[in-house]
Amino acid sequence: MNEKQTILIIDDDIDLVEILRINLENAGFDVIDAQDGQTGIKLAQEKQPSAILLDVMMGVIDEGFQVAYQLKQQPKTKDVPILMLTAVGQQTGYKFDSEKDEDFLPVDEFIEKPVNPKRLVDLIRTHLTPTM
Amino acid sequence: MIRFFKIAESTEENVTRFTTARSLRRRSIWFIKLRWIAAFGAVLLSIVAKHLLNLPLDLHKILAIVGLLALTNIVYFVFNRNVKPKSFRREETHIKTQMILDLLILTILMHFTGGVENPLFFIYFFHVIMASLMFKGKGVYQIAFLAILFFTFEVVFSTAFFPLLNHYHIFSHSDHMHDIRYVLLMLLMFWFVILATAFIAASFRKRYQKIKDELVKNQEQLIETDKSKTDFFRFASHELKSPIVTIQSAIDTVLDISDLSNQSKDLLYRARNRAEQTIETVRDLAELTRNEATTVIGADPIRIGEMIQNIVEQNREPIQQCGLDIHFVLPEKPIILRSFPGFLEKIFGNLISNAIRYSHDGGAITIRLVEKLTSVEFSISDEGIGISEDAQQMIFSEFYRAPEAKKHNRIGTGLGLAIVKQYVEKLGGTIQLKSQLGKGTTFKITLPTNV
Repeated sequence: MNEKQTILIIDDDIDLVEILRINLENAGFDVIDAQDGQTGIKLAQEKQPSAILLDVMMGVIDEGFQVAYQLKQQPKTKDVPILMLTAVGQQTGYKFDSEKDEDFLPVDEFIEKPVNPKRLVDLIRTHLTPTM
Repeated sequence: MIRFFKIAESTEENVTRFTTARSLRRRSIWFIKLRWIAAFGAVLLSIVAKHLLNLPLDLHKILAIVGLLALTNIVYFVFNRNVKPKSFRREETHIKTQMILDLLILTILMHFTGGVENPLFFIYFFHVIMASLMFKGKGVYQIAFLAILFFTFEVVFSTAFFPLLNHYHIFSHSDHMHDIRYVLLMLLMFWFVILATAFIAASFRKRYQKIKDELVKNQEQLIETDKSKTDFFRFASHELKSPIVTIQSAIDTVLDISDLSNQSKDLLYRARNRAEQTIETVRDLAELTRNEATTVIGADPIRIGEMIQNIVEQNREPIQQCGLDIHFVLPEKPIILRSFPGFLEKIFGNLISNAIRYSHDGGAITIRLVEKLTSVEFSISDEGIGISEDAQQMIFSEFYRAPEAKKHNRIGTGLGLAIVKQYVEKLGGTIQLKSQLGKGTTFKITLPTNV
């Protein structure tokens, strides 16, 4: 059988982390988590997760964006799919669809909270590369 | 891959001044017109005075002086045509020079048409008032002193006491010029009234400028306050929404993984729905307070027909569930509107989902799109529960839900139509409502084609 795939959750809402952990573990994933961006980046380097769930708004309004940007710049983590979670949607003033602007942040999926646990698992699966 | 980027905050500073280089230039253009009128009037008046009133006027000299005025006016005109208004200072110097030349020509004209005998000297006051509108600080007094200087020079040296210049009588028995009392009174009065006019006009101007400055400052403060309010709300709505989202996700997970009695399940579903409703309210409130200027994103050409059909497509599930019949009445040629897609989607989306929610099962909804000369009309009619006349008065207010709407559909934020109205108005359009209780409702939106 193939080894369990690991999902890294970076979110400062520990309650939400627990809820996500239960759902993801039930779906057959290993879950690791970090409560802030820097720890998240370090964990991502060390553990090489299969996917990262990232909250947009942690301490600072756009900390999530900064984290995503750094993850995509580092060779070890640049190929790991990032699924970004946010509770604020378009009200943040971020525009999500411009290809023209150079100042972009690369994210593979953008998910507005609340998201149904089942749909979340499905979304994660679509971004995973099948293991050997 | 989805790409994000941050919109740069546009903080265009709103600087207003009483006069600018451009406004001075506009004045200059206006003065050129006034000068033509003055020249024409001077000639006409002289002819009338000479032939009807039999005043001894030398028309040749008058024509020569008016010709001089016309010549300077042509020079100003050509100058304005060919030189762009660059700096405020330069423009001010030009207009001041023109005004001084005008005063000079006026004095010459006055000299040859009777001097103080001629009420033409009233025109000096006119110049002082004009100067007060354009020049700040000492500017108006400079013009006032020049007016006094020219006038005094003309009067004093036309008298019998300093007969440097000839005096041209226009009234045959006027020997005022030999009476020093008259000359002195005339001069004193002239000085006084000119200076008083300059003072009054300048203080009015000062006061007006102060009020204007205050208004601009207040407006800037209001914009600033509004912005920080919006930022605060953005943050607050996130803070409100996050915990509810967590609650909802927790309930979802429990419902998903646990084996619960029907009673427990029912209670959890109720809790879940209320959480969802709160999230929706927060989302709508954030939408209402979202203070995006319509220029930040920029207008895009939008095929409205397609947009509406897409929105209906997204609502296919509830439409099929209720067995609704959707009719489109769209023009053959697609309507393209330069506008803001985010706003339009909210407007159409809210109206379409309202029509679906408040229809009876098996009802029909008609969506019409008509292109007018300078506007686009969108209307949506349903055969649903309708809105009573009382409720129609309130229907666009925040948090209002009509009693029949509450009965028909328990959950709703009461913010949807408030958002629609706000966005329609933001796009410069209007919204109208026609409804009869129990029969159905029509909303009609008119959007101007040139945003």
